[in-house]
Amino acid sequence: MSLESAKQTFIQEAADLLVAMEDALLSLEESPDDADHLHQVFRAMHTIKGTAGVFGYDPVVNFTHTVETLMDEVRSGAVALDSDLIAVLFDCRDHTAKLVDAATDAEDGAALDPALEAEGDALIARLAPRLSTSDDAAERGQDDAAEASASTNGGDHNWVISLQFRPDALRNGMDPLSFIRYLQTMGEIIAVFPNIDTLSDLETFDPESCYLGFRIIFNCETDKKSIENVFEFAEDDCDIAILPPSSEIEHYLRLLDELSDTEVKRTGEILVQIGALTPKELSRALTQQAVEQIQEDESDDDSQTPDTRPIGSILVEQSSISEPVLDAALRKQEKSREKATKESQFIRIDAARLGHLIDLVGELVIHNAAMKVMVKRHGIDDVDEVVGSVDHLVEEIRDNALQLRMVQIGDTFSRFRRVVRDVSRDLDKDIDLVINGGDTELDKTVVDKINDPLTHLVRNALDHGIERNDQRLAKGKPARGKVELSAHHDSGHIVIEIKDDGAGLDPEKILGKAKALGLVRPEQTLSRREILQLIFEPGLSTKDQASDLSGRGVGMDVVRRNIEGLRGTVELDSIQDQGTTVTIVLPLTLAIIDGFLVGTGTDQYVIPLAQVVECVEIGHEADVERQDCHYISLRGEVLPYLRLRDFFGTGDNSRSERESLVVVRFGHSKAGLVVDELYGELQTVIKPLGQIFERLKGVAGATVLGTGDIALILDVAELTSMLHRESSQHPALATQ
Amino acid sequence: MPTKSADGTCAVRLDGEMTIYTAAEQKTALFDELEHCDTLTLDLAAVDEIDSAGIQILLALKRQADQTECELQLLSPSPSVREVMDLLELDTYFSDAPLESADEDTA
Amino acid sequence: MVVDDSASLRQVVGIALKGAGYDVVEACDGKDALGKLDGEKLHLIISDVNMPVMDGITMVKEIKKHPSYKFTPIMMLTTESEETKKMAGKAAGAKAWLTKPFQPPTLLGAVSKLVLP
Repeated sequence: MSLESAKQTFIQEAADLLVAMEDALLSLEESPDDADHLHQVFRAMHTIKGTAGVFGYDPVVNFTHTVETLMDEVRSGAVALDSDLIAVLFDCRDHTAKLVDAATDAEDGAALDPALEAEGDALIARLAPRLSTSDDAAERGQDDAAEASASTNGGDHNWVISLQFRPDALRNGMDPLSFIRYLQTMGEIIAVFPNIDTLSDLETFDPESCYLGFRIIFNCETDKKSIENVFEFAEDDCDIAILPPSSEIEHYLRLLDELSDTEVKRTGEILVQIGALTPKELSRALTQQAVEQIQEDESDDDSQTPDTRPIGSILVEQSSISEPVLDAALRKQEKSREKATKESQFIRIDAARLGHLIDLVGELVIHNAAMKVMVKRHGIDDVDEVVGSVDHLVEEIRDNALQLRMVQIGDTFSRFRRVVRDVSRDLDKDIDLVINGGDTELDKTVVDKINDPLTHLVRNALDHGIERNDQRLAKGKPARGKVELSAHHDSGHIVIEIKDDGAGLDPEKILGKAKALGLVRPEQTLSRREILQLIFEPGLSTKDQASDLSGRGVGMDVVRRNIEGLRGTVELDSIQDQGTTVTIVLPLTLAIIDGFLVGTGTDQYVIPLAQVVECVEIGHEADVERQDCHYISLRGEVLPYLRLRDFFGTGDNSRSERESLVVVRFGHSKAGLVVDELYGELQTVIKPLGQIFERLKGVAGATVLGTGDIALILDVAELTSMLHRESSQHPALATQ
Repeated sequence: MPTKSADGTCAVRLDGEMTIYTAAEQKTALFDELEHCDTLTLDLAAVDEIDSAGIQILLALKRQADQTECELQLLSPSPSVREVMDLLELDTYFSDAPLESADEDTA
Repeated sequence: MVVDDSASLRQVVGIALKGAGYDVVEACDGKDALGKLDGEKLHLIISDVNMPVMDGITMVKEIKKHPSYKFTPIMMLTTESEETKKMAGKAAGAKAWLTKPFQPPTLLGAVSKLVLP
């Protein structure tokens, strides 16, 4: 390539552009608002400026820059184009042509003809009053540094660049002056404030080290990246902070606003994306963050959660970014986050792979337990710490692995919107569906299995619960019925409620039906609550009886079986003419739980830890026996309890010297379990029992202990409800 | 670096370059000079090149002078010195009034 | 000073620099360059990395020992962004880098960040 031929191309190109500019100006005299022609003039100046810059024809660049700036404002409507201005622009066009000629003809390094320069200055002076961001104004600011500082707040293009060179800068051949001179070629340096505070004492002053720092107020229409690029070679030798002008800040805020919030990004990424932050500044801040993290870790080991400083505060401290921009970015991030949650951005993973992972985690939990047993058995003290941290990690891995399979119940709930809409239209009822706690999470496998029972219950509420509009009005209720689905967490369980404001159930009818079916003996007296639970008994709520019962219709016994299959419970409460609430309580997961290991004789049992309230050592004199069922008065509270040894009929009858009472809770009922030994907490992988043991009462599953022994996992829900039923002498529901 | 001194005033005329290559030598000489006088005048007319290291020496010298209550006067900066002084707006650091660029009187 | 084993590259760089008002000394490899450090004032050394006789990085190390040139800024030209070379070069003392191929304006832009025309 030859420079000469490139130069010829430039001359030709400039000539063409100037012709086009002239034509456009002529047309603009006729129609000053023609956008195409305005753009044509702008483009001519813009392109000539750009190309002249490549060749280093500074006079051309400087002059065309001013005209270009003006034209940009004309285009945006900030400056009005009148015949006077068009006249000046004609002159500008001619002057540009002269400058291009002069520049291309000039000898290397020859200075611009003073006459030409004067002409240019005169033209710029004529343009100046029109420019809202007048270079002229900037020049005036130069007289007074304070004024210049003040004008940085005024909405023009004044950047504040802080430079602090490192000692080796000069030795590396990096002269701060060169960079400042280079800045001059990009825009206008309004003011320079040298910082010599770091200039060390005379004794230690090394003339070959650099102590210089500068704060530069720089007027330039550019982006942060371009300014940073000026200092690219000094990057190892200089700390740089670039603060944008207020106009840029507004620009950033606008960009932030326009940024789509489909993606959740990190704070830094957002700021880089809008150009408020350069990648280098970000990486510097991230390094700083990492360093602080390490220091933190070293300085206080006992702090529970070492708080890392947010990247934003580091950036503000480094003067890389101003607080308003940061705040806006953080708000944006928050918004995106919310939206992302709503849009459920998930990775699709084959459920089988996830299941496999959870199985493996289960094995890991078991082997970890085994390791703990070994360590304890061999009494290797110095391994304790390692075992402790491995144990902690395994626990975290377990929780996280299970978390992977956790899904929000909201999606399941939302599906009922359609059901409610369709059914209420079919039945000509007006029904609202209200959803609460849709963000409550539970295991995917549980969610899948809960769908059918839920559908049953919702349909029942719609079909038999909510009355027809006229009936409702007659009862003084609003015509519009309401079905409410809600979910919340409660001690390791999820509680799901299906509530309607419909007709409710008539306990008399249920009781009558139950007596007719022989479920309740005639002489039995049942509480209202107990009567209502009868609805879940087989045969009581089959379809043909639905109308009689004016409420629950479709196979409530099936619903209960489904829920119990998930180790959950279902309860119903209803007030006639006011509505019905069905409460389902389910374990969050079916795979792994935190358990509490107890023993009777040689047998070991696991009680889900979330259901353990407390452990009390008991003396024999404290308990009052009554047949199979025992009561204990615990701090004035009467609790039913059972001996596991008796219940499972294991071992001999020799009682251990010290028995303990484990108080368990399920829902609102508490009960006591008497055991011989308390072994403590452990993570329990639930292994389902085979079908043979399906009917086994009080057992939810089995687990393999670290020692290799098998322990049964107690079904606290079943045991407590059984104890409470027994205590109320309910023969129909007594244990086998 | 020729010097002459009379009644507490030293005058130094610098020539050639004031760059990192000459910085070590000039720093020693100038600070030695400053110790021995009440007023130090530096004639910069013959300085044909100055870089950050050179400027830094002048700044350090000025600071030392202020601390020891000496007076430092910079005289007739050459075009290269002038350019840097303007670029960094240093005139106010060295004197209240703008520096006289022309070769005028020497105190 | 421009150091490169390709004469045409030296020429293009030379034309561009002279066009922008710089004086240029050419050398064809590291050893040649070191030989031409003869008291002439240099404001910038632009050098290739891969050269016969003496490569760029060795040359940088030598220049950094030379009393009259140890503080002269050095800009290295690499064919691609050779990161390892770049790290070695930076460690040796060449702080400015430019990737080949480049257009003269890019070169001039880079040069003008380091020295005045």
